[in-house]
Amino acid sequence: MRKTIILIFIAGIFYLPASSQIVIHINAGSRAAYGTYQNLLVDINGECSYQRREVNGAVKDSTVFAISKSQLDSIFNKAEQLGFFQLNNRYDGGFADGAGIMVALNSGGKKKTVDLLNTDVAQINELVALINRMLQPQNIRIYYGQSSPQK
Amino acid sequence: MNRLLFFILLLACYFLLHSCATQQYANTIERDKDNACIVRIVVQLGVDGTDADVEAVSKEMEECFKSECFLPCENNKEKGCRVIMTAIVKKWSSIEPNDKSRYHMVTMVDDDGLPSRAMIGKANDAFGVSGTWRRGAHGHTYCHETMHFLGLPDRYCSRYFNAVTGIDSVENVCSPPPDPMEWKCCNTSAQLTRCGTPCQGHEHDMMAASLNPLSCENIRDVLSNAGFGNCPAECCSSNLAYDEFFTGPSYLHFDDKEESFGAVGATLSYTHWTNSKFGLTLDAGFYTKTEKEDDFKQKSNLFSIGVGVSYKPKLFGGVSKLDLTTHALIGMMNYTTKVELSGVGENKVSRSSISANLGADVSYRLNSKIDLRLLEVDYMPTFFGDGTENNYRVSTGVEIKFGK
Repeated sequence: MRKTIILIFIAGIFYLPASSQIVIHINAGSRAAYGTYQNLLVDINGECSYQRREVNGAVKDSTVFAISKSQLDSIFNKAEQLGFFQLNNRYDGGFADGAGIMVALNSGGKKKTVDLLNTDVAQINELVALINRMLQPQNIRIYYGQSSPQK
Repeated sequence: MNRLLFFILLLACYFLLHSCATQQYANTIERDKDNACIVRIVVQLGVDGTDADVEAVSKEMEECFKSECFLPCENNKEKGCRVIMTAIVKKWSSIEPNDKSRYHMVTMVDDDGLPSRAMIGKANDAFGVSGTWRRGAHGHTYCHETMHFLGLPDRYCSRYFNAVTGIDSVENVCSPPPDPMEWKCCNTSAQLTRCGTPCQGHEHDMMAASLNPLSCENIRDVLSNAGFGNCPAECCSSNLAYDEFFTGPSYLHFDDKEESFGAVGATLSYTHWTNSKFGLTLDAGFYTKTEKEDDFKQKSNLFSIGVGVSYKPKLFGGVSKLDLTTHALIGMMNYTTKVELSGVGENKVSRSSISANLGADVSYRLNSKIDLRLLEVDYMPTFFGDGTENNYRVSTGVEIKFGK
């Protein structure tokens, strides 16, 4: 009985981090001292946690949902296909304030983070477009100014 | 007389247009050519948007730049340099193609919830930079972004937490360091993945949070970056008081119930300006009119003298070389009439009356010593008879300043 408890405890120690391991983190929106940003965390099982909040301020929107394993795989496949892991770590448009996006992926232990600040990179736009299609049922759209608003 | 008035008005229009002409740079930071104790900051914004956008930006910039900033001397904080800021806002499509590089291009877009943005400009750089501004932006956002055009960086630090790598990274750092919270800036977490904090000493700075208004410190930062951080020694010891002489031709219209006529002559005035706004004035003039008809000749001479106060409301402000001065004087006017009739003789009558002088003039600064008084108009009532003579005087001429 004692051995069983120890085994369950040890298994639990290994299981818990694996179940909550974040494999996708997207932070999009304000890069100024004001405004709002969106935060999307996806764990290895497709469990998603989404928040939209003011910089240093209140949470304006929050939800938890899931995407399927195949959807998660398709994101990583798309990232591979777009050459996400070969992109620079940072792209800066040279503006103060404005908006940006951070996309961090962990694809089978291969980790990569790409930061865009007030600029567009086609591969990121395409990857985010795929993710936005998956988020559509939740009425969520990751937005960082990738399609310019009306002049 | 009408031709003279037309000429004066034409001249006034020319100088008015000239004083509002496009500046050399998108950011012009310079000492006033005629007064080293005045620093002028002129920023030119070309708004690529609707007429309403131009109006909104103009309105906010006017509000933002309305207060003047004072740059005190190191050795005497009561003396120093005056800083005057002006934003010239035009619709992008209305700017001449050759002038566009001398404007910061502001692309206006609908409010999509994201912050506006601007490139960091340089003082007296030949070319403007660009920005994208959201319509209906809150607080002092347009002013904040304009200060980026003028070279100011943001004054906050920020960090973000990467939940994939588990690493908390720096996004912006304070310059000069350290970041608040013992270099930490702020606390991030899996929930609060991005945070920011105003840099130390910038808690109420517009460049740390755009809800704060523009401060003199912001303006001094712009001047320091441009090499205008100190006030010249001449401004730290000089006396603000100076003397001004004016002389020029005048037309005086004498309007009595029984007789009304116009006389031409000259006006001479002296003003001792105790500071940049208030002065004591002594004004004198002589005006004459001669009428001849066969064997009849009538000569009317008017001599006026008045003393009182002058006031400059600084109506034009900004970079304009135009200046408006008002005055209120009290004194006397002497009216002498001499009638000669051939074969009969002559008759001379002289009368005096208390007179007032309420007037204003617009002058154009040629240099620190000389102004051109484009037009002066005075209402000069007198009381020779039972009623009031509602006289007026129109003058133009040259102002010469001493001790400035």
